[in-house]
Amino acid sequence: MRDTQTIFLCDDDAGVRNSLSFLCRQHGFEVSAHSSGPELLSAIDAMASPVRGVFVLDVTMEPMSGPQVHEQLRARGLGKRNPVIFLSAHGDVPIVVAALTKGALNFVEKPHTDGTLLPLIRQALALEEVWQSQARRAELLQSLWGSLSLQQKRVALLVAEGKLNKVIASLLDVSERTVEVHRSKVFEKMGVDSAAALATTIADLRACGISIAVDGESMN
Amino acid sequence: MLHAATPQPFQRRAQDALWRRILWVFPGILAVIFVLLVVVWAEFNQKNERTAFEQTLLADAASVEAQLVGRQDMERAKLREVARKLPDATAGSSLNLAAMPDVVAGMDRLWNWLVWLDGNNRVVARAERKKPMEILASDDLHVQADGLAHHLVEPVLDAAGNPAGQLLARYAIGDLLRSTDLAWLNRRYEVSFVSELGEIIATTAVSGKEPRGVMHEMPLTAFKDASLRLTPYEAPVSWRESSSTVLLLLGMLLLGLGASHWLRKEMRQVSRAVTEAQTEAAWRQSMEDSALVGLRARDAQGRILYVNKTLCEMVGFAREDLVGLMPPLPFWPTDTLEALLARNTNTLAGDAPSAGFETRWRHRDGHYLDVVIFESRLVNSEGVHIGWMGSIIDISERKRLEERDRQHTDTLAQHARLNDMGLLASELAHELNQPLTTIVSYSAGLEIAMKRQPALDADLIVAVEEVNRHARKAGDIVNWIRKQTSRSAVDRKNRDINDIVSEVLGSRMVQRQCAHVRLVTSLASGLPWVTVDTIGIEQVMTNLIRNAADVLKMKTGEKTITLSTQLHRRRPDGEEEILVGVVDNGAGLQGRTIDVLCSAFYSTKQGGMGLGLGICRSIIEAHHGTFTAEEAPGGGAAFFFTLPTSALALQAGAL
Repeated sequence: MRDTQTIFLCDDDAGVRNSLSFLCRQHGFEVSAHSSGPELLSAIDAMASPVRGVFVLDVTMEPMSGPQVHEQLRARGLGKRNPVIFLSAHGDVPIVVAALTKGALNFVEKPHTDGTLLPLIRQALALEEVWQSQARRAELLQSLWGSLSLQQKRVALLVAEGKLNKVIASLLDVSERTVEVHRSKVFEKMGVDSAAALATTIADLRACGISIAVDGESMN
Repeated sequence: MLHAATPQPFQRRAQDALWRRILWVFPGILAVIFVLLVVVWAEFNQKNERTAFEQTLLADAASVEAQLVGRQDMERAKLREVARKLPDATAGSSLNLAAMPDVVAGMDRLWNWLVWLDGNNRVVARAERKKPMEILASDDLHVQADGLAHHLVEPVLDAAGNPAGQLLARYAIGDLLRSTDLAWLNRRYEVSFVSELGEIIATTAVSGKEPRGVMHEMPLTAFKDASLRLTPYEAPVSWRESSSTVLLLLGMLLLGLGASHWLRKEMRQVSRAVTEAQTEAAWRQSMEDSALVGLRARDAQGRILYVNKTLCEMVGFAREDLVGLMPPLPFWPTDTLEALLARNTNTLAGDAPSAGFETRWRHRDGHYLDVVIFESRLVNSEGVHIGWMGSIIDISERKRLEERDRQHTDTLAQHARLNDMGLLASELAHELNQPLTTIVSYSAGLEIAMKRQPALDADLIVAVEEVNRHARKAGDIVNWIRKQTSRSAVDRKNRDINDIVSEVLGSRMVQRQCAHVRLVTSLASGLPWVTVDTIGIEQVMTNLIRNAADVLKMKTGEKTITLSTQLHRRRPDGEEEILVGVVDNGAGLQGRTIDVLCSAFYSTKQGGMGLGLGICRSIIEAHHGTFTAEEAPGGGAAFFFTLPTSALALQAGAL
């Protein structure tokens, strides 16, 4: 199933908002136009399914500026899923620079006469696909990892390090047989068929920033 | 330094000569010398007189004695005559001696008695006078010791001529004196004959006349046991006893001393007056020399009579070089000589402007100075106009400051004009931005939409393509303008923001504008530098201060403008930046946002262009800073702008 990507447009100037909506629609994109940050955020919050698409935000808006909206989106966990493009006007350079360091994809200076906006939107949409799938995979991995018991997680980490069952048994102070049972359960739950594949998956988990620590949990 | 209590800051030119200061002594000394000379002369004179008198006295005494000796000799001769006439002693016994004519004559004359003694001292004969003697002269002579007598002895010779006895005549000394003519002497002296024992034998001391002077006594050879005493009636009078002389001398002395005293008093007064005059002259000289105003006095023809030190220093000529000169003067610049001569003629004609006139002089070392000259009439004590008094003030420094201030203002104004243009363009660009974005978007969208339509009029496609193309072109122009204006800040330097604040506060323009306002600063120390266009930032501050000062004009009570600088962390990313605030305690923003305040042609001021704050914002934004306005906590408007620190500015510039 492929979700429809939407361009979430936010600009307090009606002319710019409407014309950009029109342009994007003519290019066949789904557009959701909003006149202010709070309006956009409440629309986002009302959506049940994961938000698909990119954000195009004007920098200078009242009462909430573009970077502030960006901040709110990141607070909602959308920073790694939905690219943000800023529409900047004259004099916004420091603000835009700051926003870029916070993870915004790019910015376009108004008026966008050089035709940079639509290519940028396309690029952003493509990127969004990747980000979304990465995010989905991370979610999947996290849920798989979460389905493991504490002892299974310990065994999984040690297996991923390439340790033999015998070594693992002595480390965890259990029988070699028990280790073997845990190992087959882990392979089954994580959907892998080798220790090398498990190691890759755990590396992915680490890369997604998902907590795989087990030390903090009870040892009994 | 002036000491009011003892105004003696000036050394006297030269100490007066000693003789000059003690000149007053001379009358007194002269008087004393004169009196002393008179006394000496009088003493000398008196001594001479006394000597002469004593000589006269001696001579007189001698002549008295001579007279008495003469009498004695004469009597002795008479007695010898008698002795010679005597007969032989043997016959003499019968001789009546008293009958002899010579004896009678002798008896009448003087003799009291006569005894003839023979060789064996036996009395041969004797005669005695019976009646008292007739007084012939010297009535005034009073004989006191009548009994005193004297003998004359003459030998009696015999026929052979051998001594054969002697003849004795006895006479009373008183009779001798009485019969001697001493009248000539009596008038001058009290004449006394004194015995060996000091008894007065005879004296003329009778007639009420008191003898004075020194008594003179000399022994008489005529009478061995008596002496003559002369006491003059008229002794030479001593000047000391003459009250008139003493008074005269005393008066003389007093007069001389009085003259000295008076002279001393006068001299002291004169000396005091001279000292005062010298002091006053010195004061005046020093006042004139230390005046900041150059002074110059000229006669009616324009010849310099006097210049003070200040003027000399102003033009670099010595006083001696200037006094006596006629125009043209040596410190007149040669290129304006004719104009100065013409004005000089006007001045001498009395047409100098009372408000003074400005001119330019040339110092001896060649530099020029601007001066203001005030000419006034020089009037002597009789009220006659004798020339012109000029007061000259050196205004070069003032001119220089004015010129610098003017240049600075010009620069600011020029900068402001350029910025106005930039702002206008920028504002236009900003205002055109949104509609252009709209047009570009619509036309681009429209082109796509139309191309999807089947059997569309080709002209419409061309039309929408043209709209799209021109809209893009307009957008390019706007972008170009914006790039131009954002690139306009060129000359940037690393500065300490507090230095710029100080320079702004020190500028005459701000001080003039804020004469009615209390300016407060709250400057953080140790701030990192900012890389700025100094004039631009100065203009922003000046503008904000001027706006605040204008607003505060309406306010009553305490009027304060606070300038602050501090280190500040930018909200999105925590980067360090400098926050500069200009806060007044006026009416506040009254609900206007920074965008309203900064929009072009928006002004609350009558006659304001409404570009001021807009310019400020564009300058700050050109520095990658932000410009904000808010209500001050205690009421009033607070304008803040931020400037990236130098490191960040470089970073931003590199992007």
